[in-house]
Amino acid sequence: MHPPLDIEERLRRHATGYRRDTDPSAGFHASVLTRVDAVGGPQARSAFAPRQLAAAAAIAVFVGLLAVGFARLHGVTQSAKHGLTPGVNVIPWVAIAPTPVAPTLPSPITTSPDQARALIARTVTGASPLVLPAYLPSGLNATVRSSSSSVDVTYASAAGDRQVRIATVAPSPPAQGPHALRTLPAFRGGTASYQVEDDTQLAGRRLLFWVEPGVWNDDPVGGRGVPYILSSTGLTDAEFWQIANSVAPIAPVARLCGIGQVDVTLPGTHPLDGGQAVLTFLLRNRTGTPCGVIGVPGTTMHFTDGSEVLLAGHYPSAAEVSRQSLMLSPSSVPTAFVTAAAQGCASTAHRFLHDAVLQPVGNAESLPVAVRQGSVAIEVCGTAQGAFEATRMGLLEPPVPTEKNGTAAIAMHLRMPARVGPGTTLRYEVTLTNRSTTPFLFGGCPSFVESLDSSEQTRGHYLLNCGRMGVVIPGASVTFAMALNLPASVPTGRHTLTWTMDMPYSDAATQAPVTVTTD
Amino acid sequence: MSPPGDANDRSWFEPLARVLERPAFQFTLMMTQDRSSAEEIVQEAFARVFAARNTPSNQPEFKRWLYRAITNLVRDRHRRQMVETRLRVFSRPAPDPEDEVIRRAEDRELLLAFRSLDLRERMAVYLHYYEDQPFAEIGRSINLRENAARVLVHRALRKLRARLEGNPLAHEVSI
Repeated sequence: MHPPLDIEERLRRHATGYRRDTDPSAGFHASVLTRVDAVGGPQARSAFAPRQLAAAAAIAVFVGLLAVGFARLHGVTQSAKHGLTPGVNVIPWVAIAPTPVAPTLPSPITTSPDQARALIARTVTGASPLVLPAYLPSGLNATVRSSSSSVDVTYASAAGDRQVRIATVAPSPPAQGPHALRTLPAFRGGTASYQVEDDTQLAGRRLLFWVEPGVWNDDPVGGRGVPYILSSTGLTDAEFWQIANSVAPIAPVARLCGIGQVDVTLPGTHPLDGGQAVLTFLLRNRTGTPCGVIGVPGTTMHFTDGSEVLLAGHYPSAAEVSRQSLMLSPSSVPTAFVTAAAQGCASTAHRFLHDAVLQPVGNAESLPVAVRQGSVAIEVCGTAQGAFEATRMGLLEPPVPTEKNGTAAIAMHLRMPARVGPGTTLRYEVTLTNRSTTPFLFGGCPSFVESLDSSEQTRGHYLLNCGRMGVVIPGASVTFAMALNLPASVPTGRHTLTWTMDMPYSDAATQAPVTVTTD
Repeated sequence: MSPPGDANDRSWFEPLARVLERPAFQFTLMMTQDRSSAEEIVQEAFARVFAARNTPSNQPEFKRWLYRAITNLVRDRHRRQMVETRLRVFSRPAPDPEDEVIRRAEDRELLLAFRSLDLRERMAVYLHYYEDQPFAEIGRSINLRENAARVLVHRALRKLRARLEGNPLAHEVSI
């Protein structure tokens, strides 16, 4: 149990998730521009007319269809007159039309309680212990709405008059009514919170909140266990407690990851602005079952020049390290990371890593870090123990669009050819740099818009070819080849190319000049 | 970049819209707590700002104008709702409270408390804690002096604290 949060801290925590997760609908940008076009600029401003809006929307849709048709018919085949020499390690251009992103909420599956149990045991790998009631009244069907790290199952009678629900949730119970009854009973080795919504109703709604000590990937902080809610409608107090008291783990409680079970790799390190160097270790569970890491791991690194840097044995306080526990699902690619940072380096020295080990807290074993000897250049400042501090452990996820300090997490840079001819393909490169302190991995590739002078005639809307980019560690960059068909009617002279990622990364936009010439 | 001579040229405007439409939507959603209204208001606010004669083209100043337009539209909507509430005979059924608990978890209690603030307090708290704006900037957005903005935020925090402390279980089970 943790002390209550101050309101300011609570607002800031809510703000982080809110800013990360709250997006307008997919066509919002187009709707804004349609509205703006309909109203017009200062001289054209007039009373708002629905007819104008409808006409503008129709034109926008028509132009959009034309653009898509144009792109599909012509492809990107012609080359520019004054081409750009491709850079090394550039991800090649592929014209992929963006598709609408499906909602992230898992779809519900209705099945029998036994099948629901098997389904949940199989799919929920990011919460341990994973518990369900062993006893349920007869005649209930289960509707499961779970993800890899959350359980949400409702058992209901055909008429819907009797319901039992169990879910993982950060609890914040509904406000009390005049007849509510609230107690704090002992439950499963701890204290739970039990609420009867209306104690004048024999079979009214009942809710039980408790926290199972363990590991839960949906906890943004980590180390606080797995919170559960069990509720019922249409059942008496005795029936409810018969169900509650049957709650038990449905899968073996996850063990700590051991040596030989986790691959640890160190893809490299890059200095950040302000003299901060960050190491990023990537973790992969190579076994067939989930395992847990508790505490931010420590590290020992030996360099070819005989120096060594230790992280082990020097841990910042829990408040300074984000995440202290994590479930690693079996995977063929890394799913989690650990970062360690050295602050305020006045100067850095280039050294070559000989070997390194990672030591998760709560586990006496050390995991060797996979590095090819001499192939990873590490820029470190100082050799004393504790020069680096473990700062964060987490799952590899898509980048948040904007950091807490308001800066974009992704910096962008365009590399343009000196000149391009009308009626050819403008070939250029865009480089994305991870400016945040967290490594990222796009779950699905984001879409982007490229346009010359914001003109509909020279506008492309595509999906980024990000399948090959892998994990982008802090400070690292990845470069993509780009192409834009220019119609023969593009006037010669200086133009501006705008390259913008779509939601939720639309904060990231960049421009570069380009000269169209017939020379 | 500055607004060009051609009134209908929106090449200067589109990059600003791209950068600001998401934070503007988030700001408006927090004020209205209704997605479709928030989208409608943000679209209309962009249109109004684009159509205004003296709209600045530098981003911080443009954002201030945009947020002022949003504020006016949210206020209009709020007034309309007050009238509609008085006229409404049947109220819409409330959403399933447990669904809300499950879906929004920790958010719900805070959002309910947030809704108890008046519009100006909501804006000030949002701009300070969700957009990390300093009090001087908040003051410029809602036409207050810096100190008055600071007092407004502190008063709002007191209200939120009182509101949340009225629910003792929130602390007992807060994890």
